[in-house]
This record gives sequence, C-alpha cells and structure tokens, in this order.
Amino acid sequence: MKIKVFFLLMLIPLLSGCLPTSTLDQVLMVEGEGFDYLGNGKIMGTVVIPSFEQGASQNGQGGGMQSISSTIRSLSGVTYDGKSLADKFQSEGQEILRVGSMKTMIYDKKLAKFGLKNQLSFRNRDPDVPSAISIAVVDGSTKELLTATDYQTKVPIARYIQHMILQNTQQNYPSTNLRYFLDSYYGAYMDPFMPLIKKSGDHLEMQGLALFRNDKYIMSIPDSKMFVFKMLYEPFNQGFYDCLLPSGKHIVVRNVESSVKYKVEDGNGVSPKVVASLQIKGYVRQASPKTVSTKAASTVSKKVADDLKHNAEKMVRQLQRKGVDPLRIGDTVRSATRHFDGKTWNERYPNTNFSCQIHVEVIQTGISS
Amino acid sequence: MTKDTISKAFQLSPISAFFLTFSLQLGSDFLKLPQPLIDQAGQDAWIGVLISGFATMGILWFIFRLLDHEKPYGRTDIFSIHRRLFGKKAGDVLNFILMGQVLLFLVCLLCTYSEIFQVWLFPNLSTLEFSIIICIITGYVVLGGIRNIGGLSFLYFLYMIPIFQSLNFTVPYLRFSNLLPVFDHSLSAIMEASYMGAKLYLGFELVIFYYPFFGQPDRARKWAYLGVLTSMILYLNLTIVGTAFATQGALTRTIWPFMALLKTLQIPFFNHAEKLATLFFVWSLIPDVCVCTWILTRGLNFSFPSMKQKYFMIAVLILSVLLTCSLQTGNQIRMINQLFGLTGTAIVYIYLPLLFLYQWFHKKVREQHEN
Repeated sequence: MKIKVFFLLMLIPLLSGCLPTSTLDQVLMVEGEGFDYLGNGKIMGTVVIPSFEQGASQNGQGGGMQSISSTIRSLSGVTYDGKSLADKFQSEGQEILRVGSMKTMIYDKKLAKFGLKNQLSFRNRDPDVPSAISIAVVDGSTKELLTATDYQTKVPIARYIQHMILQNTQQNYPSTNLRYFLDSYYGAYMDPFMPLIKKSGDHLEMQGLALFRNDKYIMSIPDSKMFVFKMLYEPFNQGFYDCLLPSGKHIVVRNVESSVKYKVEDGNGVSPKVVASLQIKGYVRQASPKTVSTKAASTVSKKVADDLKHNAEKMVRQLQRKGVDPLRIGDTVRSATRHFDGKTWNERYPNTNFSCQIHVEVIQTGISS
Repeated sequence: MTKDTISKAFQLSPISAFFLTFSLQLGSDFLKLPQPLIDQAGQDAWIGVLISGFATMGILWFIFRLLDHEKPYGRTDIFSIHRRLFGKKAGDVLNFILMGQVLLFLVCLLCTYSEIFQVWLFPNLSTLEFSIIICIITGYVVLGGIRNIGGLSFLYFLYMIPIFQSLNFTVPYLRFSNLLPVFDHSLSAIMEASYMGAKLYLGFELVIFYYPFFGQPDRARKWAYLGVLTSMILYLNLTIVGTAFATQGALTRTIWPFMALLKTLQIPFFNHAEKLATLFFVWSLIPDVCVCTWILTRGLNFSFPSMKQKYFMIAVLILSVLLTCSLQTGNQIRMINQLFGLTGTAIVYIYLPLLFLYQWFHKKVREQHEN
C-alpha cells in the first residue's frame, strides 16, 4: 500500500508537465493588427499592444513620479502578404508576442482591392485567434490609424475600434466579425462585407459598409443607407432611419422591431422573382414641424414605407449591376428552390426581379403633438 | 471463482448501461459533426443521422436477442458464444479478431485526442507523453474493475452537460435557411450519409463483452436503448446547429466544426471556450479507453486463463502506447479512423446479425437431433 501511494505521488511532477507557460505580465498581448498594401505582394504590417501607464494617477498626483509605460505600444514593418505578424515581430518584441486576445484586424483599401485571400486563409487556419474579432476596411493608412497618439481617448486603440463597431452593430450596422466574413466568403451564392472606418481628426468614425466580391473590395454603401441594408439582411431593432420627404423635411423613425421574409418564384428560371416583405414597427424620434400629428400617423407611415421601398429597390439594383450579393439573395433563392441550378446563378443574378413590400407601423410619435 | 455467474460485488447497476453506452458512442467523432455527412447529403445531413440512429437501435435489439439466447448455455458474452458455437480454436480466432477491432478503437481514440490536444492546446505535447499519462490513469481505473469504469462514465455524462449547454450561445449565429430545402437529395445520397452516420454510433456494440456483468439485464437493456436515444438526440442537435451555424462551403473547410463553433462563441469569462472544452474532452476519452482496455484484458484472460489479469493489462497498455506513437501525421490518423469505421460497421451490421442467424440455426439443428 505504501509503495502504491509513493508511486502515485511520484506521478504528480509528471502531471505538472514541462510545457511552455505564458504568464500574463511576461507576454505582450497583441490586440490589433493592421495591413497596408505596398504593391508586389508586400505589405506594411502593424501590431498594437495595450500599454498601461504606471505611476501617475488620474488627477496628476503621481507622488512626483513621472508616468511610465511599461510595455511597447506598437511595431510595424514590411513583410509579405499572408505572413503572421506576431511571428514577424517576435525578434523586435520586448517579451513574447501572443495573439490569443486579438480584438481587431484592419485592412487598408488598397489591400482590400488587391484581395484578402492570403490573409483569410491564414486566419481560418489559426487555432489561437478567436473567430469573433472585429474586422474593418480603413479609408486611409492603417498604420497611421493604429499608431496615432492624438486620440481623445486613452483606451487602447484596438479596443476603441472594436467597441465602436460593436455598438454600431447593435443599431444600424449589420452583424460583422471575422467569422461572418469567412462564412459568407467560403459559402456559395453570397458575398462578404465588413465595415468601413476612417480616422477623422482626433477620433474614429464609421463610414459605411465595404462590399466584396469573393475576396476583393468592389464598392461601399454610405452610412446613411445602413438602415435599408440591415432591414433586408436580418431582423433587428434599435436602428434609426432618417427619411427625407419630397418637401425637404425630415422624419426620423427608430424601429423597435423589423422582420423580413423572402418569397421566391421561378428560382431556376432566367429571371427569378424575389419579393421581400418587411414588417417594421417604430416610433417617431424627431420630425420637422407640421409633418407628424397623432391623427395622421398612418399617412406618415405610408410616406416612410414608400421612401424605404424606393431606396431598398434602388440599392438592390445597384448591387446587381456590380454583381455583388452581400444580402445573400442567391442563398435565399437556393433555400427556396428544389434542385437549385447553381452553375448559372452568376449570370442570372443581375436579371433577378427584386421587389419589396414594406409595412411600417408608427406606434407612437413622442410626448408632444 | 464460478464460471457462469458473476459475484454481486462486481455487478453493474442497470443504469450504468445508459452511461456506458452513451460515453462509448461519443468517442471523438461528434467533434466532426456534421462534416462527415455534408459531402453526401448537404443540408439533409440530419436525416442521415436520424436514420442511422434508428438502425443502431434495431441492431442493438438483435444484439440483445443474441445474448439472451445464450443464457441457457453459460455466460452471455461474445467470448463464450464463439467458443460454444465454433469450438475452442476457431472460437478463439474469432475472439481475437473482435479484440483486434477493440484495440483499433483504443488506438483511434488515443491518436485522435492527442492530435486534438496538439492542434488546439499544446503544440509541443508529444504523443508519447500524452498516451503514457492517459494509460497510467487507465491502468489505475481498470485495476478497480468494471464498476469503477461505470462510475467514470457517469462522471463523463455529468461533465459534458455544461459543454453541450454552450450550444445555447450559438443562437444569434444560426440561420435556419441553411437547412432548406429539405429532402433535396436523392435517396441513395441520404443512404450514403446514413452509412457515414452509422460510424458515429459505433461503440454501443461493446455491450457484447460486458453484458453478463449486469445484475438485472432486463432493466439494463432499457437503459441501453435510452443511451442510444440520448446520443442520437445529441448528434441531431449538433448536426442541425452545425448546419445552421455555417454555410456549406465553410463547413467543408473545417476539420472540427464543433471546436470551430466553440471558438466563435464569446461566453462571459471564457473568451477561449474551445481551450477549456479541449480539457473537458479528456473525460470523453478516459472511460472509453478504460472499457477497451478492460475488454482486451478480459479477452486475453479468457484465452489464457493461467496468467494473471494484471500482466495482460500492462501488456495491452504498452501495446496501445506503441501503436499510438507509431501513427504520427494527421493523414495516418484519418486513415486509421476510416479503417475503424469500415471494420466497425462491417462487424455490427453484417457479422453480428449473421452470428445471430447461425445461433438460431445451431439451436434448431440440435433440437432436431434430440427429437
């Protein structure tokens, strides 16, 4: 018995293992990566690491000590397209670089136009980087955006970008992250998209949506059309739509509910017919004087519905002309058609007859009439 | 030691049939759902899982009939059946063939899990170290007998509950239009998918080795059916969630869709749910490895009763470590998994029903002789 217990105790050091450890304050956690395309398959890569300041307190009473940052903030350098930046900068790292808590990856427009194929294949293979990280196309240089020091906030830049994108996806922007992007990139009859962001002065701003065909950036949708895009893409709430009436006056509707159903006819024909029927419930948030009254709520909802319908059909026609399908119309047709003819879909997509039926219900118009 | 009955101290409670069946079925293939069925049946993969689940229950009924018919003649396990029907030499050869299949199962499990550990958690973990640690734990458990193994598979069931609850976090990602249109594939394609699905359920047939250890076989049988039903519901769940979660193009490029799914989830406090889950999956490995080792030990002891069981166990563990280490690349592991699926389905769906027929025939002939 004693020998057995001794034997078991001998096993304990075996179980502790000799595998490399990562102590939290002895690694640099890469939180954001940026890629700028230089041409010829070369990119300028930038990684950012959160750097927390020690010493000085918030009120400037640091006990006479100067504030110090204990870790480096960012690294950048030239490498080839598709290279792991953490590996590339290992030689310049103060400590080991680890990518497990990655939050954001951004690409500049040039790289997006060249194609993200190498980047995506690398990221899809990587077991360490979480799939739910935020990705975006930057109007301008990602290096400048990531390394600039003139932001109003001192929050690490990668988290700033992620928070901005996430709070927007709760409102007007469709859900986007790396997984959604990879999913529609590898899926058939659909095209991926990601948000388009820009550094404007001392802060960041969302500029709209960058649409891709396969892995290449094709066109963008402006911020003002986001509501129309999202209502066709997925059910949501808490979005707001600024409706410009022909008279030049504005009505802003905030939706509490929006659902979309697609009906498909003749899915294997030369020009399939797709009808989107939408139910939108919302309240009037802001209105020009004399556009809304409690009595005439139904006329308001009619006007908003007409405007949405006009814009939605215009947007889909534009997407069809460019041959991009971020709304997954192809997939909708596939899911509603038996023995779907996928080979000819690319030719049939521009001829698809798309129309919308929108029903808007204004449930309240505010606390004053 | 009496030959025919097993002393009460070593008997399994009927509910262990549920836990043993469940844990043996959930070997490692559930991590790949719905990927093995996607190639054949696309969005109709879940139909294949359903069909193969019911087929498994049918086969389980046959197996129980086979074992129960043996009751008047002696011990109700496959070793005794083989020896009675085919004589000592031929019976032992057949026993060794079945034991080879069990060894294959053991090696497959060890290989697959060491690969998963290397890919997801510890890139520089050597297969040798991993399999030695697992085998020491296994040896410790197996020395305690089948009741310990039953208890371990009960723990496995408990520990897996939180893992499968994580599927709840996928709800915002699901797109059920991925499952449409239903029945868009031909019958032959769906049958091919069911064949792939049948491999997922393999492991339940090991009941032919430990059936005599159930004190109340009538009640144990019901629990075994329930075990198959539970894993069928689980597989169905994983298949439907897996198909609705990702497009087919993305699914065909993923090796372990369930792990990829966990990787996407952002569970509060656990940003890397997949790393935690990998550790949990050791619990799916250990009861299965223990059952296999126990069966092999018993089988060797049945053929060579003069030697001590303990030495057989050590030999089996060393052999499985050696075999596991000889398989290194992912391709070899995939091939041995395929081989296991092929031989397993052949044994379950062809050999055991034939044996059942032969047993019936044997009985009829003997009755005629007596008359």
